[in-house]
Amino acid sequence: MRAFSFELRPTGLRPDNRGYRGTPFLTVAQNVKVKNKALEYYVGEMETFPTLSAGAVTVDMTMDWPFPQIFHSGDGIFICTRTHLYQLVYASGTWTITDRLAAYTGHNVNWPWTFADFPGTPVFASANVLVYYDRTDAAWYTYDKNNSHGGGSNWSSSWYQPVSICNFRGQYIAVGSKTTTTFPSQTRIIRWSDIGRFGWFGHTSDERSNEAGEMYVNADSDEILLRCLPLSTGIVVYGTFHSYFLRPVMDPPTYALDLIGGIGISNPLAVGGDEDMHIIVDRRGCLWALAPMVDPRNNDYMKPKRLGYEEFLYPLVQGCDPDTGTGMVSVVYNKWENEYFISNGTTSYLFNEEGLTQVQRCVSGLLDMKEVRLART
Amino acid sequence: MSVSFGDYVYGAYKTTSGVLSTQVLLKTEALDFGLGGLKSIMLVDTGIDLSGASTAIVEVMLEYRNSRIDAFATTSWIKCDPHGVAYPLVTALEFKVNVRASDITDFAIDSIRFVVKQPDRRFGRSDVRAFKAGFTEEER
Repeated sequence: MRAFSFELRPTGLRPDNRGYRGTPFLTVAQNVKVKNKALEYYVGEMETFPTLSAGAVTVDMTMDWPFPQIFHSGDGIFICTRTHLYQLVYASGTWTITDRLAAYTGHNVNWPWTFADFPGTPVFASANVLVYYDRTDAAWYTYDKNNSHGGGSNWSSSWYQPVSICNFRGQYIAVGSKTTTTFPSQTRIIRWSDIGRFGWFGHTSDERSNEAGEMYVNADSDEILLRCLPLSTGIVVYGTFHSYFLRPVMDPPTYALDLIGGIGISNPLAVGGDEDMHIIVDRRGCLWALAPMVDPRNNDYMKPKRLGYEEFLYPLVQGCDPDTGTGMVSVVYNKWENEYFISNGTTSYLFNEEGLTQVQRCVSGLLDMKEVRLART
Repeated sequence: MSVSFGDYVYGAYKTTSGVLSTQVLLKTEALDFGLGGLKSIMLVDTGIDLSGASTAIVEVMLEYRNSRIDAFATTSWIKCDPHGVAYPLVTALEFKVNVRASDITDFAIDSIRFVVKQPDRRFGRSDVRAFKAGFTEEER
């Protein structure tokens, strides 16, 4: 009887489940990642964040998915949870820890944090509360219109706190609100600040400079803008049903809005990446990659690429409820390995440019101490 | 505060309950090796060398069925030899191959090789398809 030799080169989980036979794709691939067209053992290359304390303050690193989130900038390390926003600063051989959410008592943060990395004036936005540093007052403020918790004067008391905020070339970009208002609803608003300061159109902007502005996306009133994230020459704004590309234009200096398509996300963390590429888990659990293309006129435009994997990712987006902060799918980009952890607190996948696999660790935040350049203590 | 940070990547993470940190688990899609009719898997070569890893274990388990409308049945887990080879000897129409490795932190796998025999004479002409599918013949 003749015998045949057959070789299979496994390449990660299958992008769709249409039942092809004999493909190199897998239906289970646990604790591996695809690297150089092979599968190697991998659960996530990281050290456990240590317990930190200074004086009477101890940083609560208890995992309460999708918290704690970790950010860092020249103003220190920020560890954000449902009840705390710790700022860790290292100076003259000493660490100091300050809770910038200490004044916001009696309320929990369920919506995830987003961070605008502005040197000297960092800003954090959850749909529950806005936290910002006012350089003029030399003070941190917390603002929550829903609970009549007002702080500072640089954000209008008639506005709800934004769902997401980011820094794009020296301007704050803030989008959405979790609370629907009378037409036009603040859930669909995009605001951009003065250049270099936390000043907003219709409130504290310098109107002579004609830099700050706002617009509403042309969408159904059910649309909520959930995330803004810089990509190449502009900012991608992700909503519940659509995504948009906000690109700067001159004469006068302002922004124009292009519709990317019907890619909607379930919560602000369902997209991750850097200025070169975004990875998105849409509301149907489909994975997308968004990267800039260049048209013949040398203008960037955004072309989403459908990657699939609904079979594995749809269970992650089911049960996602940002209002209670439960079951939220989160995409955390590990730029040092160029990989993305896609997790909902109970299941975790790892995506890189070679494929998708499952790993044991649900990652809510990453920090490279070498990059932060903190001295050893 | 006196905490030593190394030059590492630090993470905030939780471990999932259904996945063991020390175990690798792989499962293929349904395989028919491009051959109609029944065929026998004689050998599964994972290419993992276990010599020198005293506690490491690599096992293979086959899911198989004799009709495309049947559910898959399973074999037990079959332990591989020190060269990562298992000899399951199962005859069926379609297979899904499971590979499980424990306590191997330097696990890497770039291919799984199968040796398949076709006892089903009704599909003798399918040798042509087998060659088209990339088979190399081994006279045994």
